[in-house]
Amino acid sequence: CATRPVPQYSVNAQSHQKQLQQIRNWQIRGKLAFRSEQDKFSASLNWRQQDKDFRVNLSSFLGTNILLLEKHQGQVELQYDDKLYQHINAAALLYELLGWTIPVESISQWVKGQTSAEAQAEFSDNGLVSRLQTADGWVVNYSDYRQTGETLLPHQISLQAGPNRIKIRVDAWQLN
Amino acid sequence: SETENSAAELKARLSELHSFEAGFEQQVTDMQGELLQSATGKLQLQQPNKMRWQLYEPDETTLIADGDTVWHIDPFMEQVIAYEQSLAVQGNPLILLAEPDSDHWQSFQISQPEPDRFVIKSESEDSQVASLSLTFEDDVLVQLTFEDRQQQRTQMVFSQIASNIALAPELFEFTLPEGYELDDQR
Repeated sequence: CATRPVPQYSVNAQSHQKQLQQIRNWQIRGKLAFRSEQDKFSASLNWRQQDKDFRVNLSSFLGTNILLLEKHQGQVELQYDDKLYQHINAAALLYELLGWTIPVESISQWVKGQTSAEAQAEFSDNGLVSRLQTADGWVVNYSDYRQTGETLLPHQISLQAGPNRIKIRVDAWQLN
Repeated sequence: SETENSAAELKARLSELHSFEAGFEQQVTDMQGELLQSATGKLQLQQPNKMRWQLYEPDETTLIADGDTVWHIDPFMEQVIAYEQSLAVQGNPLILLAEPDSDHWQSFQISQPEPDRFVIKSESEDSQVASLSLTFEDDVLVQLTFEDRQQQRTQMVFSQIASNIALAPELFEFTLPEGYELDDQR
């Protein structure tokens, strides 16, 4: 009998989400673009997450550093334009200093395609999250899921809240 | 002084390069030596002041210096940023490579730590690139390395190197790709 074409990947949503929760140390190499009413830029992205700590490096396509945003044991530090800034909240620091609306803390969880309590998730029929919507107005769309190690991770993530739009293209996931 | 003759020596070598074309492997490392980015691309230089720097997978960014304007073509943003070439050189000594006899060289310090290696240091605070090092092997430019003020390093190793061959003029001519936005900062 004719079989329905099986979607490229098909997972059990619950077990996939459990797998994602176990991934606490990871690294992304790719590109990030940000657009708002006042600003638009794109940069080469290197994001290293170790549990709650992260190290986000944005660089020009030539490889020169644009900014380095780090969180270590609750303390956030930003290196930008040869100056050092400190804060307890990364998103607030970026907004106050540069006027960029980038929800850094949330992205560290959303970027894997992992649902969270305060986000409403839509699953595509292959069990993977295709969209998240949060109470504070962020809409996150996922595509280009690929096998990485034993799990499936998204390689295109776009986030939108009002006029602010962020696009992340992952060229390489590294799980350690 | 030491700078003058290394500058003269470097300019002499670069001016022998009426044109230059090579593929490159580009690796960017942070101050701890962690790999941040690796990409492949192609660099083309054409005297007196033209350059094309193209990154392929995965980055697909292109920089075209046509002598007057530097066009930064960014497919990820579907946007092109245009800079005045003479101003762009201040912030980016790479463009100097295409201009061996331009007077922009004065604002850079040139040294020759080894017979086949030159280092160009930028004196201006707002230069993206703090120092640029060129390595030759029997008069052929084989490697470019540059560092910014956060000690982030980009190393470009050249391959399939061709000097003084005819390069199509269209390589250095810019047309706005379909549907792209132009951010003209000239």
